[in-house]
Amino acid sequence: MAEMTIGGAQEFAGEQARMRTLALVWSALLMLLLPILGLLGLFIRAYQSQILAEAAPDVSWFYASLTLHGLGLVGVSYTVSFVGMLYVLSQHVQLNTRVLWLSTALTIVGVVLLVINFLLRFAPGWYFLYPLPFISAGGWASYTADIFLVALAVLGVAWLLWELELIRAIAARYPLSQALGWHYLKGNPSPELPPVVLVATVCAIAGVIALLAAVAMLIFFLVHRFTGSMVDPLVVKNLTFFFGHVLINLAMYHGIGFLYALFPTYSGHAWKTAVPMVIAWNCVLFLVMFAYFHHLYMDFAQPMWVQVVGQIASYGTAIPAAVVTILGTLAQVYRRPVRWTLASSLLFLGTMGWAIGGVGAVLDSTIAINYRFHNTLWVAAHFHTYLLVGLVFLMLGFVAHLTQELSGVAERVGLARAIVALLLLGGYGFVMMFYLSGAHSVPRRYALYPFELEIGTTLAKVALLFVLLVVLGVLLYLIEVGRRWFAAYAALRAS
Amino acid sequence: MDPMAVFSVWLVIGLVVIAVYAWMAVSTRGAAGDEASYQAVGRIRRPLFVLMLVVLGILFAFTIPRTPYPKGQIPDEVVHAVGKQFQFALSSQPIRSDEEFLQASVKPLKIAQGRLVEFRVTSLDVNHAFAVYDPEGKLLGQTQAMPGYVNRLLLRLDKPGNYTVLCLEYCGLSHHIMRSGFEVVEVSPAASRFSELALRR
Repeated sequence: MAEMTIGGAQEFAGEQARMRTLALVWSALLMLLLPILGLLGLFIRAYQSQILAEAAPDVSWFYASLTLHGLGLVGVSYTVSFVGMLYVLSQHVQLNTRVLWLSTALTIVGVVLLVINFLLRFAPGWYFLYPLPFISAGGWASYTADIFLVALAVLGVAWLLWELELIRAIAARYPLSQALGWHYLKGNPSPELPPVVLVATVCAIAGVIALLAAVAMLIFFLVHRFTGSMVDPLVVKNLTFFFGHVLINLAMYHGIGFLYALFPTYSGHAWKTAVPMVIAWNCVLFLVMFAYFHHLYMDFAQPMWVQVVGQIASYGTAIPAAVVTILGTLAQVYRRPVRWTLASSLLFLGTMGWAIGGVGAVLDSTIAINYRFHNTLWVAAHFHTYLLVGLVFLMLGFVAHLTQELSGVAERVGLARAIVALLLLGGYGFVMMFYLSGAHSVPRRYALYPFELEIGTTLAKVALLFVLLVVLGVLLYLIEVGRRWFAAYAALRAS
Repeated sequence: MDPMAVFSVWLVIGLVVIAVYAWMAVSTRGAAGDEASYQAVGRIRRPLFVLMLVVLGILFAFTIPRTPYPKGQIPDEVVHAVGKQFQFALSSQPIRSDEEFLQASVKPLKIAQGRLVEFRVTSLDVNHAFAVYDPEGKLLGQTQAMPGYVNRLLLRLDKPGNYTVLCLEYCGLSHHIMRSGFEVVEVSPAASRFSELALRR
């Protein structure tokens, strides 16, 4: 099992030490931003439940909160999972941490700009569908759209930089065909490819393509901004959803990348690259490019064949996830002496959230079903399942693992169990209210529900009770993992 | 596809997944960790792959003919539907100007029961979505309302009563109050037969 541990003396010891510091900083950012952005989510559901009554602030705060909640959590998911993946990758390839720090600094600048815009109540929604940022009917000042474009550009540069650095680092050690595991397909599993390298390669290629699409999207926005004339909204919509869809999928895949490396430290069974895994991840690289079409099913102007390709690609991405990663996780656990800790429990349960959210997503990616579910709360239901009780569990598991590995602080077993129980019960109860609302055709992104759909208000009230359990779970997590974080920080400074 | 039926399918599969995860977690108690158990799960891979392929293949074959896209049907009636922050205007006549938009947005629209209606949906500003809810508050169907494009939504309106149109694409701070509607009026069998004959001619 020596090769599975992250902290040991390895080839790239110097950069690994710097990676530890970077990972610890991003862990702190997760523990800071997740509660803040989560509380915005609590405010959103409280607003929809009408419990605020006369105390409810102006509706602009609702939509500004919705925008920052979405943008922020997608950004946190992508960045923290990326750093988690790099952390485990750093024992196999030599990453230049200066580039990663530069990206970190630029990301913080981008986040500050987004927070300023929130205070100015900029509210085009998290996917800022063109031309809404420019045409707000008096909802927000036009200069906030300019600030937003600058924030997008800064974040785009930051993330393109570290994706390119990732590609450079992998390419310095592995030719592309090896990094994608093609030698396994020829029956020659030598040199052995660590699974995280395969996942990181797929993610980096897809990430660069997605970010280039974001550049094209930004150019269209700038053309509108400086000429005042409308550009083709369907083209921009395709670019926006391609970028957004790939980015959020990558966040999940980053999480799987560190899962492959970390979970075996608890199960005692190495997770090795094999032919099914290679086929699966190469298929994912191809299919993830086309699955985004399901966001445009209700744009009947798209050619019919594009919509059908979207359904096939969406179904296609579910198969490798189930037969390789989900099944692989179960194989790691079945009748094995797994060391159950806060970290291993959250990592294991994170894949369960991915599976259950994935079922909701596959159903919604069926055109005939999407016709009734598109932009209802079913959409919020499935993505909150694989994000909140999926990826967030994975990220919290990663941070719990990292801080324990670096600090050596013993875990309080009872507290760890309480955290897992609260997050599970609260998380699944919370998303269940979204699913039920979706099944009742309740629209998403409504500050208040119309009288015909009053059930949306009732279900939002019930959801609040479950959110409170999640809040309590996160609070206990911060207490338990926070003390480990400080101990890990002190240990790093001492070394 | 009935949304509650889809919800039930999701719930059943979700509960099966939870049961499998619980079983796997319980199996770790006092386990020795032999290689055979690991390989036992690995042997499920191929059957699971085939099962998923078959289930998704059947779902694909069953649902693709049921896509909502126009397939050359000739509608009984055409309704022009235009979205603009934060209103819809519906009219049997094309809406080409702001003035026509204003007139159409206040004029009530009535449609005879049982007609196949083609809604020609577009927008004058940002993206909206044109979603039709039946008198019981059930979402019948929807399409995006996008500036520069016309999306054709075909609905057969069998049930008499007041239908609601809601915007399902976030379009600004008053998105949640953007609504419109129309009435589907009951038609007597004789009148229905007459209109059928008229249509045939």
